[in-house]
Amino acid sequence: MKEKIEEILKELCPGIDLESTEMIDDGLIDSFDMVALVSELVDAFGVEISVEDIIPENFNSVDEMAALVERLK
Amino acid sequence: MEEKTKELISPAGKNSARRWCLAFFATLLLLLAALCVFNFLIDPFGVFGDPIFDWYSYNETNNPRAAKIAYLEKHHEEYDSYIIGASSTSSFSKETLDKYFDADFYNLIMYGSDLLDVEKTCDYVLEHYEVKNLVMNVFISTGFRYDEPNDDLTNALHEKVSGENPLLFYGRYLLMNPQYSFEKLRARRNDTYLSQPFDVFEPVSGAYDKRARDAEPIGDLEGYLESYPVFKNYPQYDRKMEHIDDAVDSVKRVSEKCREKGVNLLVVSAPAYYESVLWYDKEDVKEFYTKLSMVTPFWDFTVSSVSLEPRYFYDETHFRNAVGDMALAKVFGDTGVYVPEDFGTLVTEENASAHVDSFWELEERMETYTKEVPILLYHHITEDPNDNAITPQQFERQMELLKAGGYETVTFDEMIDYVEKGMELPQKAVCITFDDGYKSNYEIAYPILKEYGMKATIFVIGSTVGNTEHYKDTDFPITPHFNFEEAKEMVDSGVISIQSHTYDMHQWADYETGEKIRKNILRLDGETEEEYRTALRNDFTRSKEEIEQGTGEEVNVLAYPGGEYSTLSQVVLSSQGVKATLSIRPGKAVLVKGLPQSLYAMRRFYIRPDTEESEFLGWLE
Amino acid sequence: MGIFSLSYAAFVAVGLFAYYLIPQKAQWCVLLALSWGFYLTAGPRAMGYLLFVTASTYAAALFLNKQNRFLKSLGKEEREACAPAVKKKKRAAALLLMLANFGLLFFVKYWDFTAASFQRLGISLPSLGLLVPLGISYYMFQSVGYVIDVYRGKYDAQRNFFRYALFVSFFPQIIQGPIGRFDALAPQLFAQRRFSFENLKSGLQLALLGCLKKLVIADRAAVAVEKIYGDHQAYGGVMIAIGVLFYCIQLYCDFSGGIDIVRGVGRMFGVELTENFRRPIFAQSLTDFWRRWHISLGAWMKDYLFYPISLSKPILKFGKFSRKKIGGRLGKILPTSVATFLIYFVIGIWHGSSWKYIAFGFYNGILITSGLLLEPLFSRVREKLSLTDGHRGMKVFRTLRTCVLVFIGRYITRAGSLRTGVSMLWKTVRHPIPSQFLQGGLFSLGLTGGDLLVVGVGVLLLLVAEFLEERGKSLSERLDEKPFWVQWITMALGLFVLLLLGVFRGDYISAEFIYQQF
Repeated sequence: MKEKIEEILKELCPGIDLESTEMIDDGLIDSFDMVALVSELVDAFGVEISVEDIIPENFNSVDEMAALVERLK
Repeated sequence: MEEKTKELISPAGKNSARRWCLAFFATLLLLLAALCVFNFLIDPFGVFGDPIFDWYSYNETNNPRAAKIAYLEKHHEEYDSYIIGASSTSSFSKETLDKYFDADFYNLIMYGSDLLDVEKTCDYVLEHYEVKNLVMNVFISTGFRYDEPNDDLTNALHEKVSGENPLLFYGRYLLMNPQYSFEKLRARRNDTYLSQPFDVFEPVSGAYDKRARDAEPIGDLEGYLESYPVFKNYPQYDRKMEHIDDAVDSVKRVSEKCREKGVNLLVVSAPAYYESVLWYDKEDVKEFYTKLSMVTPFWDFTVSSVSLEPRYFYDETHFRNAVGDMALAKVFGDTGVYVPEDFGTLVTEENASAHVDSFWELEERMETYTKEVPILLYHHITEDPNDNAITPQQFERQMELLKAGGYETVTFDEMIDYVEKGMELPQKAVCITFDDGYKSNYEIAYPILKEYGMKATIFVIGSTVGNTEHYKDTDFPITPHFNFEEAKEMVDSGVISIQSHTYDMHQWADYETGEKIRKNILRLDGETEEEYRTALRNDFTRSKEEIEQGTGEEVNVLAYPGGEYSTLSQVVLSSQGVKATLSIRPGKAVLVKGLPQSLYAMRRFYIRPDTEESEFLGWLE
Repeated sequence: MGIFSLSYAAFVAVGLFAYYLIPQKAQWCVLLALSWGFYLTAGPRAMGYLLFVTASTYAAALFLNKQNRFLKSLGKEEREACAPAVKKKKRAAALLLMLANFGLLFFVKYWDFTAASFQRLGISLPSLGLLVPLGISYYMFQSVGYVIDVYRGKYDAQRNFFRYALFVSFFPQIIQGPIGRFDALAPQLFAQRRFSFENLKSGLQLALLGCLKKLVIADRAAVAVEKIYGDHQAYGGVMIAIGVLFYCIQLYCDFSGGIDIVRGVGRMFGVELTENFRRPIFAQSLTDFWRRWHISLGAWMKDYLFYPISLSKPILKFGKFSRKKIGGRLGKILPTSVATFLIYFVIGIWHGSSWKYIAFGFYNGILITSGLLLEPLFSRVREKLSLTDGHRGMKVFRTLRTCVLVFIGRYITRAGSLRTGVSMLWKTVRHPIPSQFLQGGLFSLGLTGGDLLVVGVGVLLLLVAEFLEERGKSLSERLDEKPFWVQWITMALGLFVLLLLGVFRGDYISAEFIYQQF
């Protein structure tokens, strides 16, 4: 799953540091990327991500994103 | 940085923060204290007694209400009578009031004030100072404006008058914008002898310093309208008097207080320019004046033939000092001063209504009060064709023309009497003058004038009187000038009057050796005002004394050398008793009764060798 | 009571004494009393609006909270069974709340504008002439954000009405923001504190800086702005551009200066309010600009408007559709663009009821979406020029470009109407008339040479300070490292300048001016 997420991220934000744990807080992902990311995740994993889930704590790192998807499945 | 947790700050940081905060408040207090001290010392409103400059003409300009009371706190013992009102009050001069009332007046004019300001100020003055007479000026506009805000530094009433908490009052002036003080310092640097817009008051009298205004030459109406275009295109307003009762009640309370205190109260209503009276509704004015007359009889000057003559006014609503003198002469029945017949009415309950009606019936009912007089200017007379001067034949011919035309010569004394006392001049008046004092005037002109029964005035340069061969102490040749013996002979004959052309302010640059050369009466480059005034005063005094000693005739007319003059020169000369001055601008002199300024820088026709007869006759027309 | 007035300073001083002298348990009550007292000076009617917003959001949040708890209390199966019904209830409640609040806001703020617009279409609606209650947009957004957060289950609702009321009305921020978040702000408001000189110091520093920005710089610039915008027909394009520049200076110094004071006062009470400006002059793009300018508003819009819209089912569906049918870059960003447009439209309207604000919103929306659309083109150009993202020249270029775009937008927002703004912009391009400027036009704007110098030097100092801060360390941090006398001199200088050039500006009446009749 993590590989898939990394792939999506790479495509969306070329040059992003995949090891980063503060992707949101450091502004690596802005709100446009976020929307695109969410819709890609929804497509790729067939989960439903709602607005409530869009908080930095869920998107600051690849691990957190994976955890979120896992939780929603 | 923002989220820095408080625990992380070291004790040292804590101490430093404490120190910083204390320093902050200490600095703030210090700066405010410095501000207070600065404003206190410079005191641009005079409320702290102006400890350094004692410059009340400035302070009163900033706020007459507060500064005048502050001034009086220190000086009220010098006065025993007060005149009070808005800006038009200024034109009642202290000298005239003192003379008629036999008192020491202070003019408490507060520009822009309404009758509530006036009442409060009267209250204070009546309670705290010794008052014999109180003159209250109720201008027509006081029924329109009442209880206007007094909350700016510039229009606040003094704490003693308003009863405001002194702490708040003085606090405001201590903690005010320091720019007020800076501006005072700046003005101090630019201060001049005559008033400027920043120091318009005359501290001792309390009135506006009108020396410059009173020295302003005034002549024909057209020229006046050019200089004062407001009268050509007079503003129109529609004003409803909404404060008639307020205003009348204020006057009532003041008058009751005066009665109680045994103070002699005179209520006047100052002259207004006619068109400004039309801003108001007739019924309003009638109500106002009728109600006022029920409280106290008052002398009303609002509307008269004076109201129709712009030259008696210097702006929309303010009349000249000369008009104030006429008004006071009317009140005191002084027949020695010209007063237009319809000027001033004592309004009582009985006549109030009819009196106001007459405002709206005012039309061309004025007696003649102006006179055009051609003044002829001659110099040297000689047969010598090389000299650029007229010949005896030309001169005699011109006298003949005057005689044939029925012209009568008038003297300056007669013209002064016309202006001051309204004494009429001959229908066809002409005035003959000679500048410089050449011997030819004595030898040639004098006999001819005598023969034709004419009078003339000769303006002599003091320093060259009696110079027959040389220019003063030099070896330069000079056209001969008569001496005082000859002058006295002419004066004694009644034909000639000898007046001043300065003592030595008409110098020939080429013949002079000194560094400062005075070709005319104007201030020299690099000369201070003080030096100049002294020089001019000394020069004129010497000229006057020598002439008066030599001829026994009083000197009160001066012909400006080269026709050059300035406001300052006119002010200095007026203060020395000069009543008329002459320029060389061509044209007839226009005299206006009651307006001394019409005698200043009077125009003259310069007669040259090539002056044609037709031209000469044209001037007289 | 304006926040730049002496009475406000006195109010804060009294407030601080009361706050730190009273038993710590009651400290929050002092804050509430101060806040309501402060707001009451705006009049009882305004207070009515405040109470309405407070009470309605309080009640809605409680209701939503109850539903959340109810759902949580159920077992897994039951929860799944009940969820749709509860969700429906919640949604209805939230909708009702928003309708009531935004309806009210619309009514007081936009009714007259709407009526006037309809008038043009020939439909006559009465104009009401309501006064907009002080700060209503700010505290309403703050409260509604709180309700949405509770709706989303982000945190529990506050049960104590008065505590909640303090969150809505905390006096430093009620007039002009920043729009705070309950989870960040509330705990600070209810904390029990001892007086600390650190807080006082940093609060005073911030407030002093704010006063300097506003009273020394903004109020001077405002004179020129007034003159040029007020009489724009008389000016050529160059002078108009200068007027717009002055307006940019005025707007930033005024708004951020105000926020500095607000945050400074907050700090004195130990409350750290959210940042509202982060050196917008150095923004790299228009999007970046909106992340640095009026941050709390942008963040609100993002969290409560942008995400819900872009992640709503219809938009997600539309996204799928567009990616398939349209494809490529456009297909990908089209849905986000729609949301973006909407956000800037709302931000535009939020600023005021006039077409020019709507146009301003569109202007930003168009630029940002077209920027997104053209990004591949840009990156190709960059590649050709072999410019990397980190290239310094690139950064400078982007900063300047952003400045210019923002600058152009400002033509419209200050002008009397959209038409005027556009004609002013047109003039700048077509009729510059530089001679006006060259012949001393700067000195005819009602500012003396001294004033211009003060504005110039002030702006320069501000730029240097912000540049240094952008590079990592704020001015106050740098100062703290210096010896005490340097700190003192700086503070004393600031106070001196504030007194001399700020506090007393504009209230001088020349005697020659008042005294006209001599």
